[in-house]
Amino acid sequence: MKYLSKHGIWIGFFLLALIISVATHGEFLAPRNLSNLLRQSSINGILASGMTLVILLGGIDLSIGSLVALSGVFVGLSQVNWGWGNSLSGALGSAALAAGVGLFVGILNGGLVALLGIAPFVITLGMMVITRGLAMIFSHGSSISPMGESLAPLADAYLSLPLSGILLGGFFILFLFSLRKKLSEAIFPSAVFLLLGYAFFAYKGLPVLVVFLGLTMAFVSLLLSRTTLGRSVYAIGSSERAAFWAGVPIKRVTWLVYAFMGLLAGIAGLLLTVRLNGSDPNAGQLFELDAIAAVVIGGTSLKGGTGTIMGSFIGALTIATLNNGMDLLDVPSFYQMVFKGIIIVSAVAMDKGQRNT
Amino acid sequence: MDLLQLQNIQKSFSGVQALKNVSLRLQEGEILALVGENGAGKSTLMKIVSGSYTHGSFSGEILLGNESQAFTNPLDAEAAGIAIIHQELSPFQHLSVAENLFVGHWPNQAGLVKWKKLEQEAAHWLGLVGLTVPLDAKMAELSVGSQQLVEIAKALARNTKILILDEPTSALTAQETETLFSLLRKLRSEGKGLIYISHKMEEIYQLADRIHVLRDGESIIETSAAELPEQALLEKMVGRPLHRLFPEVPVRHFGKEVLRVDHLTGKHRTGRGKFGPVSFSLRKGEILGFAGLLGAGRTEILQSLFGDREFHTTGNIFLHGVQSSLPSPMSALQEKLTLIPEDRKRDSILPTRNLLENISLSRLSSGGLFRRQRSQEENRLAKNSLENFGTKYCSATQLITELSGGNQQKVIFGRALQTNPDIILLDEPTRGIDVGAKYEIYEILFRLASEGKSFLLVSSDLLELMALSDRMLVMAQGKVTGSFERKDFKQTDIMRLALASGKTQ
Repeated sequence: MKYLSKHGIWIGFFLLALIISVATHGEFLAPRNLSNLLRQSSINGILASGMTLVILLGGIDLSIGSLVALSGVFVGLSQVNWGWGNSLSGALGSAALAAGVGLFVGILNGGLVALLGIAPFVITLGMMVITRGLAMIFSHGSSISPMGESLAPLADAYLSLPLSGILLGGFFILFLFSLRKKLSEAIFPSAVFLLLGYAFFAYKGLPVLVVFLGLTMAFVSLLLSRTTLGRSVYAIGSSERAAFWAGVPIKRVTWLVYAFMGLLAGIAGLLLTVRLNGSDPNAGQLFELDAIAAVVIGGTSLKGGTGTIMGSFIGALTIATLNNGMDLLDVPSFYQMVFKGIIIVSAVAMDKGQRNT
Repeated sequence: MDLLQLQNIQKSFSGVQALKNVSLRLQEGEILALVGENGAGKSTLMKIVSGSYTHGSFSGEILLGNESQAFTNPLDAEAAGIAIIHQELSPFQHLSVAENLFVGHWPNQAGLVKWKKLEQEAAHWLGLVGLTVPLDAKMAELSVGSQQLVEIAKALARNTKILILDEPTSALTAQETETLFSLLRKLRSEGKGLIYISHKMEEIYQLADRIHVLRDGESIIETSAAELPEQALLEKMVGRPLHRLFPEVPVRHFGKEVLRVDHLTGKHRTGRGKFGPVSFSLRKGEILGFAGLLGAGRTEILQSLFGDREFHTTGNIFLHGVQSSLPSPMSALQEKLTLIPEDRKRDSILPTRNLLENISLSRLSSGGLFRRQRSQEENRLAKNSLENFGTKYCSATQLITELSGGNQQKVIFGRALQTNPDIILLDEPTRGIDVGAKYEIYEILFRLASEGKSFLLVSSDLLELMALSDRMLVMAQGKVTGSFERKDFKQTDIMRLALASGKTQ
C-alpha cells in the first residue's frame, strides 16, 4: 500500500491512459498514435528535464518559452536569409547557433540569479519579456520558412529497427543502473517502457526527436544520481544554508543549472523550428508553464530538494496523454485548457495528500 | 498587593523537566529581576506567563490578583494585562510607527480603519514613553532603542499592568539605556509590575527592587536586592557541584600549534555587530573553549574562520604556521578545517534528503563538481561513520528528519569527519539534545581529541564548557575579557568576566 501511494503519479497515468483507451475504443493505443504522442511531447520533455534541475534547486525559469522562439528565429534567419540552408555544414551551423543563443541567455540568467541574489522569478520574468522582444526585433515580427533539407531529419526521421532496439535497450539499462539496485522502483517505468517500445517497433522505429529526449533525460539522470553537481543541486534545494556550511559552491552550481536550462531551450528552439519547418517569433508561448507543470505533476516540490527526472518524464507524458486523448475525443480546445488545469492541480493535491499521511 | 503569583509551576518537554516547582510573586509598583544562566528556565517561565505555553501544558497556578488564570493563547494573557518585550524585537518593519501600536487592534468603524483616531491615540501613547518621532515614520527607520520604546508604548496602549522585559538593553546604546531606565522607573511609580530579565549585574542593581534566581528550572531564592550582594547572587546562579554528567577527561600530550589567530577583527557587512580584536592559538589535540553570553561574538568568530563572508575581517590566520586566507567554506574544508554550526535544523541538516546524502555532502563538495561518485565507497564510508558514532538508525536511505536530535547530530559529526579535518569548529554541539545523547557526544569529542583532532568549542552551557575545555577564553561584547587554564576554571570568575563590559584585555 505504501508502495502504491508512493507511486501515485504512475498509477494516475495508467488510469488516465486506460480511461482514454476505453473512450476512444482503443484508438489511443494504436502504435502510430503512441509514437506520435511521444514525438509531440519530446520538446516539452526536454525542457522539463532542465526545469527539473532548476526547480530542484528551489528556483524557476520563466524565460524558456521566449528563448525557444529566439533561438528558433536564429535558425530561420541563418537557414533562409543567410543562405545556410543549402548545405550540411550550414545545417550544423544553424544548430550550433541555436544552442549558442540558448546557452548565452542561460548564462545571463544564471549569472544574474547567482550574483545579484534577486529572486529567479523576477530575473527570468524580465528575461522572458526581453527575449520575446529580441525574437520580434531580429525576425521583424514575421515567420521565416522553409528550412533547408539537411535539417529535416531532426523532426521527422525514424531510426532503423535494429538501431532503435539498441538505443532503447541502452536507455533501459541506463535507467536500471540509475536506480542503484532498488529494482522494486522499476516496475511502473518498465511497464511504460514496454508500451512505448512496442509502439516504436510496430510503427517505423524510434523517432529522432525521441532520441533527443532520451539522451537529455539520460544525461540529467546521470548528473543527478552520479555526480557531485547533482548532489549539490539537491542539497541547495533542501537547505541552502546547510549546503553553504558544508562547502557546496552555491553560486557556481546555480549558474551552471540555469546555463544548462538555456542550452536545452536553444536545442528545443531548433527542434521546434525544424518540426514546424519555419521559425515564428510567437512560437513557444507558455512552454515554460508546460515544463513547470510536468515537473510538478512528477512530484518535484516547488520549494526544491526533492524530485526525480523519471517523475518529470511521467509528468510530461501525462500532459501529452491528456492533450492527445482530448484531441482524439474531439474535445473543443477551450475545454481542453480547463481540463488540463484541473489535472495539474489535482495531481499535485493528491501527491501532497499522500505525503502528509 | 500581589499583582501576579506563580505557584508550583512545573513544565517538562518530552520527559526532560524544564521547570520544577517554580513559585514567584510580583507586587504592584515594583521591578523584579529574574536572573539565571542560559537554560535555567527563564524563557520557559515567561512563555508560560505570557500564554505562549497554554493552560494544561504545564502544572501549577497563575494568579492575577487572587484569580486563577487559564490562558489558552497569548491574546488571553494580553487581555489580562500581561505584555512581554522580547529580546529580539519583531515589529512590523514596513508599517508606520503609529500603525505598529495598533496592529490587530485598529480603531475602526464597520471595518474601516479610523486613521485620525489612530494617529491621535498613537501620539498620546508615544508621548507617554517620551518618544519624539514622526507618526508616519516606518518602523525600519528607527533605531533599536526607539523600536523598543514603541513596543512599550504598544503594551501601554493595551492597558498592560504587568510588563516583562527580556534583556531589553542588549542592543541599546548607553544613552538609550538611560532613557529606557527612566521610563521603567516612571512605570513603576505608576503602580505597574515589571519583570526584568537580564544578565547584566550593573543594571540589575540599578533597577531591581527584588531579585528572583532560577537555576536548573528551580526557584533558588527570591529576596530584596539589598539583601543579595553581587557575589552571593553569582553563587546562587551557578552554585552546584559537578555531577557525573561528563566522561573522564583523557590525558593527552598536546602537539605543535595547528592554528594561530592574530588580532582578528570582524565587522558585519551591514554594520550590525562586530567583534575583536581576538588572538589565540590552538595545539594539536587541544580543546579551546569560548565562554560568554549569547551575542558575545563567539559564533561570529567561528563562522569567519570558516570562510563566511558576512563579516568583513582583518587580522592574520596561521594554519600549521603558514599564513592562510580562507575565502569560503570550501577553501576551509580543503585546509582541513570543518565547522559544525550551532543551529542544527537551520544550518546543518538537509531535511528532505537521506542519511547517506547528508553524510557525504562535505566530502563530495570538497572534491570538485564533476567527479563521479563511487556508490560502493560512499556506502561503506557512511556506514562506518554511522556505526563509529553509535548512531541509532534503520537504513542509510531513510530521511534524516526521522532521527532524534542527538542522532542527527551524530550524522553531522560524520559529515564533518569525512573530510578528515585537523581542526573542528564546534558551535553549541549539544543544543536541544537529551542528556544521554549529550554524554555520547562528549565521549566522541574526547575520543577525537585523543586521536589528535583540535577543537574550538563554543557552548552556552558553562558546566559543559568547563568539563570539556583544556583552556578557555571568556568573551563579552565581541572582546576577550579573560582566559583560563583548566586548573583555574571557576564558575564565578568566568561568569564575572562574561558579564563584563568588554573594555578590558
